Amino acid sequence: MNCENINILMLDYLDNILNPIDRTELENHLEHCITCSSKLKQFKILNKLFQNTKKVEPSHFFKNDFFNSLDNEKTKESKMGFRLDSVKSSVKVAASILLFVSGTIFGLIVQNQGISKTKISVLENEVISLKQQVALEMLKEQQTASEKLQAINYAFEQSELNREIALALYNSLLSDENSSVRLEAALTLQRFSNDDAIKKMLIKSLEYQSDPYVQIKLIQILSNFKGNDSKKVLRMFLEQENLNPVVKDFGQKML
Amino acid sequence: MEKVKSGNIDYMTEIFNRYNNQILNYFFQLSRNLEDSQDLTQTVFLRLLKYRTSFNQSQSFKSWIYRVSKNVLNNYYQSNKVKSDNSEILNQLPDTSLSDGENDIKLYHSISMLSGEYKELIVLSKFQGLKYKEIADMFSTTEASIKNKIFRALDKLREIYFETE
Repeated sequence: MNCENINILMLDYLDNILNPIDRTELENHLEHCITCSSKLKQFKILNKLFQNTKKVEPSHFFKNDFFNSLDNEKTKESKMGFRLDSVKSSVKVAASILLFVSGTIFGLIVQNQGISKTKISVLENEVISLKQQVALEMLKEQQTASEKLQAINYAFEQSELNREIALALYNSLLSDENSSVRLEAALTLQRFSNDDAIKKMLIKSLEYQSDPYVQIKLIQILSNFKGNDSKKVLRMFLEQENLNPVVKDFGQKML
Repeated sequence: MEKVKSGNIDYMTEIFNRYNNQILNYFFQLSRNLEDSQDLTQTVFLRLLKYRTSFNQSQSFKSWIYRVSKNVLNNYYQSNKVKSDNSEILNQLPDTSLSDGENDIKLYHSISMLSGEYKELIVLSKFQGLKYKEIADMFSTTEASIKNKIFRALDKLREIYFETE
């Protein structure tokens, strides 16, 4: 057997499932092939490392959090089955209309049928408004984290942020149970922070965050704002005694 | 899972107790972020509940739960890639709950240099202990093909790990 054939057998050999005939072939080969025998030695070292790798344990709150979410799901299923279906359908309908209108605009442009720019612009506005409607439905509390992240992506792609969506994002940033959702909501609001009201939302949200990753991102956002309001909030926030030292250090450097 | 599928949601607690640690470690081994891994694990179990009617008894439950986890992780990567312009800073934050041995650090560093697919195959087969058949089901491919890929992934990891010695 050549080295290539021996390589194919190595995985089964390491898993201890190689048949006796192949095993003998492999062992005979290893006796006089330094390359393959040193390769096998290295695989064995890696296997040992895999077995000894430290496993992480969930935090004390992790199970409770899940059981609370499970209870919420149960309540929702029994009380709001109908409502959940109708929310889903409204998202689906809005998404279908969105596809249809986008397709129409594209068709009109491709066919160049002399349609006035005003009509195209009206249709484009329709698309924007429908996208916002879809995003708003998906940001509601009963949606999963991944649906909310998708909605935040929709919002991020907009050229302007509708006030209702800004408030829904602010609400997610303050209270969503998933830190990825909170982080993405902050990043999307940051994109529109030229608007003073959105800037205030970001400043206000810092005190509600407990996750160091979200705290760091917000500190970074706030430290780029002009004016004293954000600096004042930042200073007060950094004075907290039980603040994560890495966050505190990062905040002080940003100030 | 069949009991949950037929409407008895209370059995979900049993499924959670049985698998939550494995799924948490799957996410952690791939993302190295404990807090996100906890959130992602919760998302997986809530998603299992939501899509319980799509579970097909003829497939292995383990393959199914890992396939759902794989999708949840892909969404996480996509959303982080799009907007996390400060990902470098976030990655530098030490996870204070961990104290990896030096070998673990070197091993994880070498794994992080593999392609996404190789990384996932190593985690599934070597850390999570999934059978080749279960991984093949997850990736909708044959056992022979997945075995071949796992060997290549392992060989690549070996090269990286021992090259840095």
